[in-house]
Amino acid sequence: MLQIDLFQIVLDPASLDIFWMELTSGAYGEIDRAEGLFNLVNGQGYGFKFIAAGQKSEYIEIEDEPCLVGRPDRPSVLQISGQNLDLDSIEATIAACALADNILEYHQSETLVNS
Amino acid sequence: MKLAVLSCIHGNYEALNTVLLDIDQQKADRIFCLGDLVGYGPHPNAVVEMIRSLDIPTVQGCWDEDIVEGLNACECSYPSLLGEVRGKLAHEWTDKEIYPETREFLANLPITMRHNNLCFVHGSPYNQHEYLMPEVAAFTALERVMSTGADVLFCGHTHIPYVRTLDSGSLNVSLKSSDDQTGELQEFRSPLKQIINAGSVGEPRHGRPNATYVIYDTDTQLTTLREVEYDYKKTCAAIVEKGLPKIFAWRLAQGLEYAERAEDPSHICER
Repeated sequence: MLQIDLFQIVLDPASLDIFWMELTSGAYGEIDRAEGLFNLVNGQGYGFKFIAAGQKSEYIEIEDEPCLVGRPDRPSVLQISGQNLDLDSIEATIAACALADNILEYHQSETLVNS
Repeated sequence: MKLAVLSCIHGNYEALNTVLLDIDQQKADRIFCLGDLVGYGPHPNAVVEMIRSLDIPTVQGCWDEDIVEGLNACECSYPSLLGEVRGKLAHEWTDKEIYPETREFLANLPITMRHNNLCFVHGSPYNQHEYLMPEVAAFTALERVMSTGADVLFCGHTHIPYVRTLDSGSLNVSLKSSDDQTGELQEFRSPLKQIINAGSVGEPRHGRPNATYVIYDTDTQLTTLREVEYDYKKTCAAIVEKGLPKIFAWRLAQGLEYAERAEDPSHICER
């Protein structure tokens, strides 16, 4: 099993949507099972789960306090079981989905203004 | 007269070559091209050379403009961080790859072309980057066609072919200013208009790797959407061989764009 630690990484939802579709459709190797705990820009954590036999993904929102300032401390990880997995491409794609500090700060300040 | 209209080739020489063969078999009298000759695909110079050597009238696409002017995109070009990263990678690669004469050719392409009552643009008459999605508001769609003075507006850019018929109607416009608050109502009447999107030759987004273009008969006003199979695996191999991201090859094989475009039909491009 391949495991990627995503601690304190905050992802752009539109980018994660593309990455998850690509991952579960076989763009980075043949996937038997994938599970992720992801932090999104709205401060919430989300659980994603895909099992190849079922051919559909399940999503849940993690019920805890949203992180609206700084980077979240909750666990965040991606686990993948499969064959011929292209780890370099997976890591590069996740990195491209991640928010830099200045973009995260901008979104969090917008959220505070609008709340 | 039978016209073939193609768009969004994106450096995919294999697709272009096969589409040109198909156009030949359809016995089209003239060919028009709606731009985006380069960007994402592995053969930008060969595509431009083919279009130039066949003297195909072509308008400038958003990618053609970006290669000439540099990236200066509105948010609609990159609705995700991932799309932005991939778009910039493709831009940098293409920028290094193309020959000076290719860049010069792209720089000299017109933004719009007219042929009798037909108008040809890449995105919209205002902007190569603006998406005329099939769901765009009827008011916007009709205004875009009427602004050209043509009856049929050919566009590309969305990578999804469609024909939209706008029944004869009218636009009622009232302009008020600080000096004149009366806002006299002006009415613009329009006979039946059409928007015809030619889809994409080299970077389809319809879930299959096949190239699309349209044949338009000026005598019968009949539009035929053509979907053409080609050896996309050759293009996929060239993408990897030339050092473009492997994911571009995977997405091409799935019939998905290499990055992705805006989903919001109400967005007005601010570039």
